[in-house]
Amino acid sequence: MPFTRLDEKHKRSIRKLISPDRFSDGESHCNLHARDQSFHPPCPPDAVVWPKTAEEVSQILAYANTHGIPIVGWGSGSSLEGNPIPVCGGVILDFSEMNQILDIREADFQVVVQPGLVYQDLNHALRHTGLFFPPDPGARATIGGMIANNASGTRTVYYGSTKDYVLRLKVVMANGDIVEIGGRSAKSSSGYNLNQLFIGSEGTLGIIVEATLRLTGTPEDFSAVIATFPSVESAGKAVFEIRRSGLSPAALELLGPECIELFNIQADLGLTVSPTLFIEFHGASKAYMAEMIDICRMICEENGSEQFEAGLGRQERDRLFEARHDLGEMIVRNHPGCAILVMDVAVPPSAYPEMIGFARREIAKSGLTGYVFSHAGDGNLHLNIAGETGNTDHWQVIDAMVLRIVNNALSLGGTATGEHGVGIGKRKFMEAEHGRSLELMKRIKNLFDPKGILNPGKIFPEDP
Amino acid sequence: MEIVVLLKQVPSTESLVEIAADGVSIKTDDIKWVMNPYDELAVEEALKIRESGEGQVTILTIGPEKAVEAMRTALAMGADKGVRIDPGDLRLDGLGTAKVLAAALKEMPYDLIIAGHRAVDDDNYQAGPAVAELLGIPNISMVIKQDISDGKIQCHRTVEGGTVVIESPLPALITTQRGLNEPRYASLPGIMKAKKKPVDVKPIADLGLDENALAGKTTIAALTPPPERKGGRVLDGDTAQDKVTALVNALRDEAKAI
Ligand SMILES: Cc1cc2nc3c(=O)[nH]c(=O)nc-3n(C[C@H](O)[C@H](O)[C@H](O)COP(=O)(O)OP(=O)(O)OC[C@H]3O[C@@H](n4cnc5c(N)ncnc54)[C@H](O)[C@@H]3O)c2cc1C
Repeated sequence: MPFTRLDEKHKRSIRKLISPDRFSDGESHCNLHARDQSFHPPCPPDAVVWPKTAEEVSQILAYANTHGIPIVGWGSGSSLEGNPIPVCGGVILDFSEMNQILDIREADFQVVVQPGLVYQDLNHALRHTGLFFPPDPGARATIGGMIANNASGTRTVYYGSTKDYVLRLKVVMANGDIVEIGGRSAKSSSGYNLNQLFIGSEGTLGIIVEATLRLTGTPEDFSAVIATFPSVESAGKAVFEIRRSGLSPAALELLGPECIELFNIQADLGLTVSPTLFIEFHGASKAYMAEMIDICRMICEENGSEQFEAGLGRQERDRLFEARHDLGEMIVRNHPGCAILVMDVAVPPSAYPEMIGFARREIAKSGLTGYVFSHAGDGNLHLNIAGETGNTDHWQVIDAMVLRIVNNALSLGGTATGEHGVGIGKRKFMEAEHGRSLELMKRIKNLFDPKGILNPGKIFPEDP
Repeated sequence: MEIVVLLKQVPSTESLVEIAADGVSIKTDDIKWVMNPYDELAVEEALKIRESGEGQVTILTIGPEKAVEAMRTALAMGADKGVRIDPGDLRLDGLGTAKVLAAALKEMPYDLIIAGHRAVDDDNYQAGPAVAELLGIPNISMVIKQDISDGKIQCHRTVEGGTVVIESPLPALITTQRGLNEPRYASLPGIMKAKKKPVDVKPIADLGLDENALAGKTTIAALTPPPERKGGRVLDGDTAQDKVTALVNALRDEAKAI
């Protein structure tokens, strides 16, 4: 579908809908909104707008819809699949100035927020209430971006992902209508669950301008473990057994030896360079957690674990998780002159050891440097591969490898993306993953956004 | 190890602060009160030290009834008990505050006292060091890392271009600086338990101090809000070169920055 580029007339009109200091078509502002954290090539928008109210968003969308101007939401731009890149130009709605906490309803375990709020800032504001918002992607992501991507993190294995924490949304539809969906009760069987349609829709169905989130109690105590293994496969096997045994760890992260080596170099952690599991339990009583750890130790040892270090202090635990959150950045720093492809497949628990073995063999065959790490408890495998920018040989090898790894995940009953979203990079797998239900998705998209102005070029394979 | 944390309840930095009609205090009606952020670091450090050994953490505060809220937050994080000194109508300046705290501390056991390096409301930077002086114990300020062994505390402090490592015997008083730790979040059961933890309340009179000697030696003469920020200015010029010339001129002639 041909879209309208912003000429001076359109710019003047949009500028009038918002205060002039919150509109920019300046080159540097546009370039700052041309790329996310992925390797996908940058593409600047025609203009950037910083809305502050639902009404402003509504007016801009109504105008854009009439004139066929693409609209792309922007949180922190920390996506890893090109999700917010304005590939068809148009207007970026940057939510960094619409970032307030509107209401903390402590007694209901709920909070009402604006989309530009960064989740770490939300949790900081909640720190004395005994409540928190659990999804924790590694970046300083916004609630709007997390909902749009259905983000998750290291604690998802226990607490769930963003989709489990959204009760109610205020959304601006493509034509400018402001719609409220969902409710504040803890449960409901009333009608279609429209919240879940918007969660993970990557800004292609509507723009989120307010969210009521569910919160949960901050864990009273925790117990953290580091366990090392002779091979990534044996660590993967232990992960599967831990899940199967009914233990419910609050984090179950697997790291290849190459990642541990980076931790030691860049964060000075002094860990043994081996395939490693970070495991954490949350609970109220030390006795309960001690029991969990005993079973966990048994399982790890049965799977050949060489070191099993339990009872880490708070500081040590925090440093490990901080390093884990920084790992993506560490990999980038370790490969100047390279772009990093980030893989994000997820498979059913029983297929996890096989998947991880397959990925390891693929890296070995490619001759390139790859990093295996994983929200292992969710069967979610990340594989970051460094390829020299502009080296076509490297990128041919990487493309072919991605194809094989994702197809392998799909054949095991998995998905092409566990948490980063389809964006640009995973569009080519939509047909294979969803078959005929992809057609339903297209019809939903058409119903919500008949002119296709909302984040065009994402999710659907045939788009520009 | 007996650890005492000096804690102050202060207006939240996110609150809108307005000067009251008397011109020397602020309007307190709509203000949200929180624990002084540097004291939060102090509570966390105290809890960490207790967790690595034995002992207890006592919170000491001077303040009216509502100051107990900040104290309960510290108890919810895991501190064991609290002592609140009620100042009544007395207005205390930095030194007065330190005298009251020191008098209260003389009646309590302590091996280590931890305080924020300043309270973000008065920005006095005085309470910690003055208390140490009055108690005749060593003081190490603005600590970003500490380590206790063999009855000694070793602290790191940032100085221009580097770090100093300072050691002192215990008992001692240290004040906290950002970077020391990441304060833990309270849990719901923690908040419930905090309601039952003992908080002693003592009127200032019980400390046997001469109230005349406590009354502020300094008084606030006036408060003024920071100047309002002026809007920005877009420099004229057709080319980048023209604009840079205009910018350099403005920086040199108007702002006198270069
Ligand atoms: C170092 C690093 C580690 C990461 N770790 C994880 C991880 O562990 N788990 C995980 O899930 N992800 C992870 N991510 C990916 C990323 O942080 C998440 O996808 C996050 O949800 C993106 O949020 P954002 O605010 O940056 O959104 P953006 O990237 O700005 O936008 C994301 C999508 O949301 C849309 N959007 C933004 N705001 C709105 C709105 N108000 N209404 C409608 N649509 C909107 C955008 O158009 C885009 O499609 C990581 C990223 C980095 C850089």
